[in-house]
Amino acid sequence: MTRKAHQRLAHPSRRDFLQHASLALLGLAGAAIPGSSWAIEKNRLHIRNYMDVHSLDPVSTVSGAEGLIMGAIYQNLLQFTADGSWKPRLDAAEWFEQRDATHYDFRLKPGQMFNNGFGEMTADDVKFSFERMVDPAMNAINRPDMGPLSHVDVHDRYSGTFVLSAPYAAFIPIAIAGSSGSIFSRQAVTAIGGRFTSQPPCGSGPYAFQSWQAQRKTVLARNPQWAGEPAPFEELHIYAMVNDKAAEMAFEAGQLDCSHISVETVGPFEQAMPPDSSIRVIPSGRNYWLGINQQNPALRDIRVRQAIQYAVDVEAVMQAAWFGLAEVSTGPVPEGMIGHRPKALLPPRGNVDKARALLKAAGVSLPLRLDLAVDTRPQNLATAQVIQWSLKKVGIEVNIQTHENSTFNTLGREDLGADWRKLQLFLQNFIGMADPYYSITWFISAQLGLWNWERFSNTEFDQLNDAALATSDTAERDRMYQRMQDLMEESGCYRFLTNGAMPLIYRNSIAPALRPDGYALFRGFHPSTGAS
Amino acid sequence: MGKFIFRRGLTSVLILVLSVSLLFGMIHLVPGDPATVMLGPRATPELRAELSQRMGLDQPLVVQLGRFYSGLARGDLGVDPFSNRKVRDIVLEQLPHTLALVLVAIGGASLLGIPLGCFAAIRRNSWLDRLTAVMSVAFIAIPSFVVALYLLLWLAVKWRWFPAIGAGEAGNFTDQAYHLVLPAIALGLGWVGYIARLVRASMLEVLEDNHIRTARAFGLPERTIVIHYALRIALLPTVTILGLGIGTMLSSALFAEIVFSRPGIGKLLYEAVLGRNYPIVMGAVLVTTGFFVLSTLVSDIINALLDPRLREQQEGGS
Amino acid sequence: MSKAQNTVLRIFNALKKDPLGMAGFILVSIILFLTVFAAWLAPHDPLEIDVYNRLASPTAAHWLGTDQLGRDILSRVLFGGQVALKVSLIAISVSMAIGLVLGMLAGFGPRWLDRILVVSFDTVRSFPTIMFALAIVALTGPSLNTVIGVIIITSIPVYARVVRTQTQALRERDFILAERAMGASMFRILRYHVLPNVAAPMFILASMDVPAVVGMEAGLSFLGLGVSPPTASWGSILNDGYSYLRNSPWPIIAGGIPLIAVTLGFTFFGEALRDIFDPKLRRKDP
Repeated sequence: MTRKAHQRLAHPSRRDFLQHASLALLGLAGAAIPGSSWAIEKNRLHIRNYMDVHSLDPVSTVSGAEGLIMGAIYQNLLQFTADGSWKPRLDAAEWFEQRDATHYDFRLKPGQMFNNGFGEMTADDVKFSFERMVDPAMNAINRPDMGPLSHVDVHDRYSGTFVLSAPYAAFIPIAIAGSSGSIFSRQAVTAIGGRFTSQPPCGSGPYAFQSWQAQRKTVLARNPQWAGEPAPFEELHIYAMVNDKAAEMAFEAGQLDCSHISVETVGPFEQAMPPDSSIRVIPSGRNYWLGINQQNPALRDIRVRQAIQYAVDVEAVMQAAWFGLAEVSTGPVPEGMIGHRPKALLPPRGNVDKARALLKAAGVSLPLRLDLAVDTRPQNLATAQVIQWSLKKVGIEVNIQTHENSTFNTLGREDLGADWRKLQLFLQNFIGMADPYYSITWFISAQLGLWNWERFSNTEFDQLNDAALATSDTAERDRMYQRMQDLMEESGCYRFLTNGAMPLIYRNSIAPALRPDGYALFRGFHPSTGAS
Repeated sequence: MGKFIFRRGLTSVLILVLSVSLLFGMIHLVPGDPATVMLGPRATPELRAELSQRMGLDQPLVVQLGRFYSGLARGDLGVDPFSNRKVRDIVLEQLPHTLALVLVAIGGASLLGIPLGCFAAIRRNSWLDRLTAVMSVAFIAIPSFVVALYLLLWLAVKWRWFPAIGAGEAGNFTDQAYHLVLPAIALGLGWVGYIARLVRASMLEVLEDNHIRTARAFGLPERTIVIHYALRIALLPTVTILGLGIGTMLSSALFAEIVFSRPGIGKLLYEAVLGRNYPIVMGAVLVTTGFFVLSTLVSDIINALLDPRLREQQEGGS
Repeated sequence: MSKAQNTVLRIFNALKKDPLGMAGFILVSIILFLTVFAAWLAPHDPLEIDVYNRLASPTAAHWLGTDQLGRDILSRVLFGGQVALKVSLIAISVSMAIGLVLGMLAGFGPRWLDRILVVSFDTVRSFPTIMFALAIVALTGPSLNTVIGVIIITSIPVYARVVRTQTQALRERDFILAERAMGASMFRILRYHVLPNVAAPMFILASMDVPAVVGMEAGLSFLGLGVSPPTASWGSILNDGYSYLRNSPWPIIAGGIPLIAVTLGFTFFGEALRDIFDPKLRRKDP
């Protein structure tokens, strides 16, 4: 059924009912019914965002949810596209090249206009946008994204050079093509005092920011001044919806055209698919793992840690917690990114006999009792229970300790309490970004007591972390990151679980655009060819 | 009477101050800090320090509390460290959504529950009375998120009579009212049963009263007796309890707000506590406890107006 | 005939005339029986995981199907009853005991003490329950004890206020005035004269509070603030049911029916008891 037909069918019953019942119910009889806002109108795209927006200024953004919107209303020099690769394409730049380890040259396309009357984008605007990110006075939340960026030299109206104080291999994927590299008009931002949050003073993307309502939605409209191919939708309505179930219902009820859904819903939806819809499951690029604190007295013996590694049946975790939709990962670096290991050292299903032998060799008296710390997210709870069940088979009794989600994040922190000493096993996950550096760097010795809760410390690993950032040689970096993941696994501190899965449901009338990690690129969404 | 209201009002302020101060202390005891929660690994120590300083978290608790109250006196609740928006604006923006939801839920529940209760009282011990009793109690038992779930599945997804999520277009009254129906049912359904039980109980008591017996003796029709004489008296205790109930609903609307993705104070408070966003937590706490204290104050005053004995007792002993 | 036998007989005779009360009594008995003997009655280990047979519909082996980890729902519901019973038993008895003492003190003690106590009751009552629960859980971690603690703290003022009102009414009664005139200590009066008079109605109130407590556990579980897995509770079963509704309707049915049964049973039985022993007692607090 085409959408039009579908609408025609859906409308009469709703109208009739409206006029007869619901008004009477509310005591509003007599009022005329204007077109309700929740039906899907043509040329308006209704999409779910997984949380509310706090700021649309890269200086102060806090989540990827904001980046989703920023990608549609701002331009970067380079940007990721939905071509399935991690290779960024030209956006505001007409030409971009790395000259040497610390210099990157760019030239802007001429004629790109900022909306709200702030004129053409110039190299000075690029300089302004990047330098404010690293300006100590701005104290930008996302300053670390910029790495050792020193300043930007402007050559003429359109061209310039980024100057770094040290090599930084993740400069292009994270600083240039990430949302921290959004370009603003110097005049516009200066005019409002140098900072903003939910009301961007200007933009230059294919969509223009229109409104934001707290806990409700952000509305973007087609930007008439966009120099490129006009945006395919008149308006994007982006709803802040934390709850997966609510989003699923909203999609079925016709209020959303596209939404991420939870893994357990994929099966039932595939059996009884909402009309005119499709589901796509994408690995999420997030790293989920079981952490083992090697400094805890019970876990000092590497054989005990290895026994735990071998005892965990990761396939069973995939079945139980991920409904078979996620793949067993080989480490923090997901498939498709440099540094991804084709194969882990440990078998996915583990090896119960080997685990038992290791425990025996370590002379542990069974049952060994260990605490497993986990937050309250249903998926992590399911994972914890499967691990508990796995470890029981080798004589390890696991006590699952749930923690409120935000309390959980403090457990391994030396500066936020004393729990880090007591920590034994825990389930953690970190989001990745477009470069392996971002997935790996949390495990170095300098992160002890911050995010390195396993208390993993390895000199070779630390040196490789620095070296892999200093070289631009892709093959070399690939080898280094693979070696680092081997070291992590060999230490017995980690049992890698998965890189996750992100199911997306959408109407067949639209074609979603996604990055390789499933991150939606709103700018690239368009009506699918052939739909009404 | 003026003296009573003054004293009662003073007590209310005392309760509000105590409650807000205690919750203030409690939320600051809770581990976690906003930068770590919001940014995860990206929260650098420098950033955490900066945010803490901006929120005044580096000061002793007493100083922070003092600042909160002195700000409050000026009508300033501080600033959300992430969006840089005034907490007062953030809270006031969400309040109407929850108030509308709570009032419609309670109003609807009263419209259904009161006649149901009267009916049950008049037909006491008939099978209809018993059916009503079983239904009412069953309604009370079902958690509101389960009610919400089935309302969504049938009325929004299957039949598409009502929208599934959101609060409607801003400024469009009809649309907003339309979006209110399902959440209000989810929130109010339990109250229908509760109110019906209350009305039935007090109705039975009133129907035994002397003046009702007199009215019956005069041969007035039962209908007239119930509606014109008994109901008025029987409603009083119900109204009192409703006042108290509404007071607690500002935060319990959370379930409906989550399931229907509605904006509101319950969700604001919940997410602020999860995110350790202290300024917003305090703003929302102030509004919810203030609302509770206000509604108990009003119900006490109504009580005192209706029953002078109580007033004397409160003024003298309480 | 002993006094106890007499009381039982009186209850029984009254229930015969009150079908709802009788039904409530039977329901309560059934629930208590199933719960107490859960370990014998449950067909499976409630913690036994069978990942490859998850979210199954009812079969001969699993009468209520299996949950998202393949565990037998019926067994989990039965064991969940023990959690519900434990929570309500501990939470209600502790909060009632404290509420009794504080309420009697407020009702009988000096005026300044009454003022302080009433203000503190109202202060606790004005806490937004969910925020309070969330803060406590964030401090101590979600667990059965946390749930019990939250319920105790929020219930004390409710009991205390009822007891206070009743004590105040008793204070002016002749037999108490006589005791006071004879110079009896406050402790003696409270212990031997006030307590027996206010305690009985309290037990009836408490029986009617069981469903509220169980419902609160369900609400906390929905927010992820309830008991720690893998322990089964009705609240956590319902919460799972909410997440996995599309996969199987059974968890929500299995978690919801006992909740409704408990509410119906305890409410009607409690009301019947109230009508028998204290027809004047009406709940003044929601």
